[in-house]
Amino acid sequence: MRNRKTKFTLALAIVYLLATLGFVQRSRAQDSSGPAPMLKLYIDPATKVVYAEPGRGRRLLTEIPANAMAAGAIEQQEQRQEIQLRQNQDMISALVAKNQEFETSNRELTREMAEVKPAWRSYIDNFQDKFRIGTLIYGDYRFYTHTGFQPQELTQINNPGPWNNNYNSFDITRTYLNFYFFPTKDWTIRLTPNMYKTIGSSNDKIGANTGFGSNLDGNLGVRMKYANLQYSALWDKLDVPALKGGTVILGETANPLVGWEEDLYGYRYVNLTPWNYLSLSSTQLGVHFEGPIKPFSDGKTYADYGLGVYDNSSFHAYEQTDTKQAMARLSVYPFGADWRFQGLGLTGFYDYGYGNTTPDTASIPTALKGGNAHITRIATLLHYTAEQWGLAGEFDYGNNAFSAGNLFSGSGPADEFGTATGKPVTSGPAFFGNTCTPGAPCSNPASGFSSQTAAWNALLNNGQAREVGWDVFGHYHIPDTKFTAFGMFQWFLPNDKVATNPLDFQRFVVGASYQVNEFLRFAVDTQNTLFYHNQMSMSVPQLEKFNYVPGSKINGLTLPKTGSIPNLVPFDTHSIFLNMEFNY
Amino acid sequence: MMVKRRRGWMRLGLAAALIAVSGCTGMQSYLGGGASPRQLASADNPPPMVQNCGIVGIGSPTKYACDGKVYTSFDLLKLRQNWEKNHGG
Repeated sequence: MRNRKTKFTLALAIVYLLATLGFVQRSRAQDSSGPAPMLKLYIDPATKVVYAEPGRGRRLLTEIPANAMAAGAIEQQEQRQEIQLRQNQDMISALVAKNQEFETSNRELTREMAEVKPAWRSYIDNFQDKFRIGTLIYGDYRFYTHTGFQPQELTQINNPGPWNNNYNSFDITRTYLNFYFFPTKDWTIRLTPNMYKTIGSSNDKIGANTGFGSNLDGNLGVRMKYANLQYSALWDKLDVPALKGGTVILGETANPLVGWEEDLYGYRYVNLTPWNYLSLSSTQLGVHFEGPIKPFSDGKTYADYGLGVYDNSSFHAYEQTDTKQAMARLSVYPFGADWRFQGLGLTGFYDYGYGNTTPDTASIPTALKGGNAHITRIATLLHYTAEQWGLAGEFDYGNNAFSAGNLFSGSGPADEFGTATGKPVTSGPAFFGNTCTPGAPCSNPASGFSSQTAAWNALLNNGQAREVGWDVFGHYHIPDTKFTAFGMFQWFLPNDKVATNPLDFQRFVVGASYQVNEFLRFAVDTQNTLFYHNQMSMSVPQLEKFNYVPGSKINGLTLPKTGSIPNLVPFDTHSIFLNMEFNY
Repeated sequence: MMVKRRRGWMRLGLAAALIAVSGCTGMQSYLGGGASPRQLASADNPPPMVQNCGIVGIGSPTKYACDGKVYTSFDLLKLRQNWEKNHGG
């Protein structure tokens, strides 16, 4: 704007000066050409005013030769015109110089404006450096050729029990939104909301005559999977170079074993890792330390660790105890690893905690502590990982680490969850040592699962159970293809103190995955649970050695006092899964 | 006689040395002025593809080990897209 105004002023000045110069030139030309010019004067007789030009009512008054005028006056006039000319030329020069100055100034101003970033731009640039968002989605389609009671194959999926063959379902089993915020170089905040499939129904009675129905079964709810604060400069501050890269995490975080083993296996979107499948939650609330150990200057990792103190409850349960559990994992890579898991590794994991029971309940004297007892989980792994394949063998040992609730997390008898099944006995002669009446119905071992559920709970939830397991898992990338074959085999004895435990089982998963691109994978696989003992019964005296109380009640039904409870080996399950993983 | 024979051997040795030197020079030029075949090939080789890499960590982003180096899924995507762009893919 300013520039345009300047140019306009300059143009006006130049026009004016040219006009002036033209006039001067014309005057000078007239002076030097032809006969001497005459000056004519006119008068208006009415007004007696004299004019230099003719007009209406004017008469020629006189003619005077121009050269009759004084020569000095003409010279003076020429001098004035010369001075005026020089002044005008000086003015033009000054204006041209001024214009150049303005143009230079404008260029500098434009350059400066281009360099100055607006404040909002600076804020956005700064924010995007301190914030990251990602997402993770697991989905599947599953088809059961044989259904039965079993643990969950994946988080929060359930299936109907026996006699529901051909059951199938589409599922979404995980939808992380990973929010990472880096307020400073050393601190990170992670928030991860996760979708899960809810199960739950409760019908409310409102007032004297009103009821509201509610059924949350199958609703996709959202809960926080991870919410924590991470500090990554502890070992830098303490000047321990071998432990640099380690972090301290406060809040809700992955425990030392499950997340690590999921990465070692690589197919968490297909199935759970062994202890996670059995009972150990992937996420805990507490204080957690983890990181690599690089004792030498070659930059290789020779060990990595994870340890911490956490609530006894999982991340999706209310903490009831006055104690806490401790976990530690150490993985050693004797030949050094250039990247995580590379080469031969040996891993040990130890977990010691307690059942999630309030102190007043836990302090009640009982013959067997049941769910109040301590919990131990131990895992030792030998693993070898290359870029194209991986193989791991695992030995598991535990105490009270696999309850009936864990066994039936995917599907269980309704008796386990408060509803009696089968046809109770309400009359007749003594039935398994009990007198049965309509007011005191008896559990019928030959109908439904009430007696069996009581027996299963006795074998698992007695406070003295000892678990033993063996696992093998691995994968192999088929060269020059996008396919990788993978598999897992798990053999588990839920309580090896039982001579022949009807709940002993084997589980195997075999499949192939297809890597579509950097973010998307699909897999087709079969997942199976085999309760491999022949069908069997256990006598009441046998069960009494564990936590079975003859004549006690389950869901209002009196349990057998004598005889044997049959059909204690659950049904095998067989299924085919199509799995999907999207990770960004 | 002995001198003549010695000169003959010297000439033969000189000729062999010249042939050897010229052969090496020719080999050098055949190899592209000192660049190794691996270097030559790497300029035209595709970058590491995710399906050929080992999983290092599943997360946001997932990390992979390829040819001894660790890449994020975003790194691999960028490498692949650049290569496809340069090779009309």
